[in-house]
Amino acid sequence: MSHEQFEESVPLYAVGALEKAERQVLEVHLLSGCTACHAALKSYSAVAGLLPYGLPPHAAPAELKGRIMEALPKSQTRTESSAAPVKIQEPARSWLADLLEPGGLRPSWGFNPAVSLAAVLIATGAVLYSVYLRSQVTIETGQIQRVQMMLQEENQRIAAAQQQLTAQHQELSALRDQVGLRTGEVEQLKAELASREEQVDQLQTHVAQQAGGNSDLRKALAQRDEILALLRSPDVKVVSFACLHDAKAAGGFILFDRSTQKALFYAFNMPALPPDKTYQLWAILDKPVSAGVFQPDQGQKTRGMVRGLPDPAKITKFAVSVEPSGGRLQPTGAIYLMGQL
Amino acid sequence: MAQPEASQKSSSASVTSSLLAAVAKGDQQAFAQVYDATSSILFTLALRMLGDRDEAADLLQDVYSEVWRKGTRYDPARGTPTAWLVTLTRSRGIDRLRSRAAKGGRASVALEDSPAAEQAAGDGPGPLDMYAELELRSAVAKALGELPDTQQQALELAYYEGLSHTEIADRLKQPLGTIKTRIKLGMDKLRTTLQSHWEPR
Repeated sequence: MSHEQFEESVPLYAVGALEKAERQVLEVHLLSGCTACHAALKSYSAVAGLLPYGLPPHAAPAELKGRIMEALPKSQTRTESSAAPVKIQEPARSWLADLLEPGGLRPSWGFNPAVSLAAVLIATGAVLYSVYLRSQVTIETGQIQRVQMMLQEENQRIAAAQQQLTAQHQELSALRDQVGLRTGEVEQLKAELASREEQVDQLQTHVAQQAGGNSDLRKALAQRDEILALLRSPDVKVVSFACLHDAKAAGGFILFDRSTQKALFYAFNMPALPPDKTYQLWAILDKPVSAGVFQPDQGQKTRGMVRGLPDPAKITKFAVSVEPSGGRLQPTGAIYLMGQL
Repeated sequence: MAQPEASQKSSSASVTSSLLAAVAKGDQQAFAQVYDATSSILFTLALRMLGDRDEAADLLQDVYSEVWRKGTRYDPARGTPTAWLVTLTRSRGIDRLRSRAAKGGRASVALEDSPAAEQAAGDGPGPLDMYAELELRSAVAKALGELPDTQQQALELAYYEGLSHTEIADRLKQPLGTIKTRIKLGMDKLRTTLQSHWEPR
């Protein structure tokens, strides 16, 4: 093909009227660095680009802008990389056509035998670009995987936190139950304490009663011991009482120990006295000495220990008189019983 | 030849390289500006190629989405941003026509013709851009009008319908050489007539 033939085909190339084979031949010629053909292509392409201005104008539908703007991918870089593999698969003719159609090849390339090298460089560049795009895709994929991993980790953390929360809830409710139980226990303990206190009170009362009983017992024991000791004493003397009045059934005796100066007095059938009167025992030496006052019990009996008798050797008689309540220093009432030593 | 400077900038003044660069960086506002400045001419082209408003709208959606994703592909050394968008739209339009033909669909289109009054409405290009574009439209329409109908027809079949010269010859029942000559003569004439509109400074 002569240069003239190439130049003839440039206007047809510019309006897209060449057959595929012719187009490829011309493209090779252009790449070989024919400046005349470059210049011609550039001008014819510019003219072809003006052709649509010769058409009756039509405005785009009003809603189209909104539709297009709405459909725009949000991130430029993301779509660039996702579109990249598609672009790589396009045939070489396509990028070459893109390069040539709008304005022809760059004038700076000039006419130079080395331009064939430029073609190689362009091809190399295309390969490198595709490699770059693939690496970009790899990088993006890596980033997406990282983000997915982060998401996963985040999800796991959330799940763990939820588990902790659930566990804490359970602990809390368990604690509440325990507190409830403890509260019940405390109530029970209080009730128990109250009953124990009551028991203690009762016990104290009992103990007090027992103590009282004990002292009575001890007193009784002591009295018995005292009486036994008196009875066992070798120096004990017995004096019988005789009734001096109409109440002839009354009688009694007194055991007295000269060494210890103690005496056990016992009387029976002693009539009860009016409240303002009392019986009084007298030890009579050269003059009467009071040995104590007493009241008969319900069986009309009287029993009592007499201590600190005056000099037993000098006692000649014992007597019981009826005296006003509290007794007197000297007998003032009638003598009721009398016993001679 | 006198070159009115305003006209020179007209087709690309509203879409600058820096605006496309902003789009490439994900600037939605810049994208909206690009859309406002170019949607009319691109829709006109898409409608002429596909003959169906819905399909033309779908084509534009594809193209603008590609611009959004691949704004970095634009190279100022190869032409104006608008020229790049026109080329992109035509290229994707041809793809649609071919897949339509492969599916056994209609090969030719019945173009609905409607007035351009709606053009001025909405948030389109500003008055100055509008004026520049109107001037460009009238210049291109005038230049095309000066071509013989046969040349116009051959150019349109190639450019808008993606037919090769062989296919055009078949369609028009003309010798292949005749079709090639019609295209070449038509393009030569337009290149001369519209020089002030396409020639870089």
